[in-house]
Amino acid sequence: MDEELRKFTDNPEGNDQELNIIDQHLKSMRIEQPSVNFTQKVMSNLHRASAATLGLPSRNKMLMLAGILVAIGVAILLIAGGAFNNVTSITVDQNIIPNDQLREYIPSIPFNGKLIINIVILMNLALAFMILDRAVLKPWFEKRRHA
Amino acid sequence: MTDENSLIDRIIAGEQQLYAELINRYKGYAFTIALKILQNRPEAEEAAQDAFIKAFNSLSKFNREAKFSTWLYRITFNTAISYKRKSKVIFQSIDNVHIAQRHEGEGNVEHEDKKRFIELAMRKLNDADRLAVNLFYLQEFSLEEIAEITSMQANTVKVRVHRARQRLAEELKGILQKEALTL
Repeated sequence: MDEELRKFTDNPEGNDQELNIIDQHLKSMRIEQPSVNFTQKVMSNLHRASAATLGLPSRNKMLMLAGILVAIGVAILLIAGGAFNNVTSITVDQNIIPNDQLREYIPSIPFNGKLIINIVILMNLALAFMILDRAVLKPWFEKRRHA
Repeated sequence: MTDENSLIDRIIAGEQQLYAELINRYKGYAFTIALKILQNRPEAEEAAQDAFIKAFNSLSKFNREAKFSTWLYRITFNTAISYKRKSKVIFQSIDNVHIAQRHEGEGNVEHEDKKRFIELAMRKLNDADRLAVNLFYLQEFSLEEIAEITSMQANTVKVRVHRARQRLAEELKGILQKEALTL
């Protein structure tokens, strides 16, 4: 397969001038060399955490984590106080949509408010654990490994 | 290969200074891969350095099924891609790029212009296509190795190289026509 494609690029279809120019240029391409102190730089940074894996700055991660925990706390307090127990349906208010625009009766949409809030809290908890793992636990274990 | 494996074993065992030997062996290609994706030398150098650091930190996880170089280039490819996603690159359509007119003699200038036009056309390709076509023409990698580096099927690489050449030719034709009109 390799040979087949290489033969093909040696003899581009027709006399397509542009393809010839491109083939000549690409074949004359050389390997680029980094700066002379490349190796020293890598060697001196071997135990530095990789810049690409750092992701969000840790301050932002901690703020995000705190935000999620506060949101969960507030939601738990509201649930404990029974704030969502009566939220069981959505009704489209006839005052918001004028009657002349309504040709058909819009039914109310029943749902279990408590269940939905529980699902939202569960998803928040999962997100909080993921952030806790990436922002706190992983860097901490990495540090301990290299200590 | 065995020599390289024993070198890796010694590095894992604690002789970290030997890693410099691996860096010197592969830095050219690693840097070239990063450069082809990022199109920016300082950024490519940083990405290549980062890739070497990542490879060092994961050396004990290297399972030796593939060549060390292929594994390293794959890390470099992924690192460069993540650098590209993070950096706020301002894309500029080549339709709007003003190509400076030169009135110097032909020959070298014409060659340099061709080179520049091809580089412009190259920027129109997506990262995977650009890298596939570059690696293919460096003649150092088989299609299977390119496939492994870029996490694609060998057949997909073949199609991408073929398609990328066609696309480059079309772009180049457009640029040359535009250039002819401005003369």
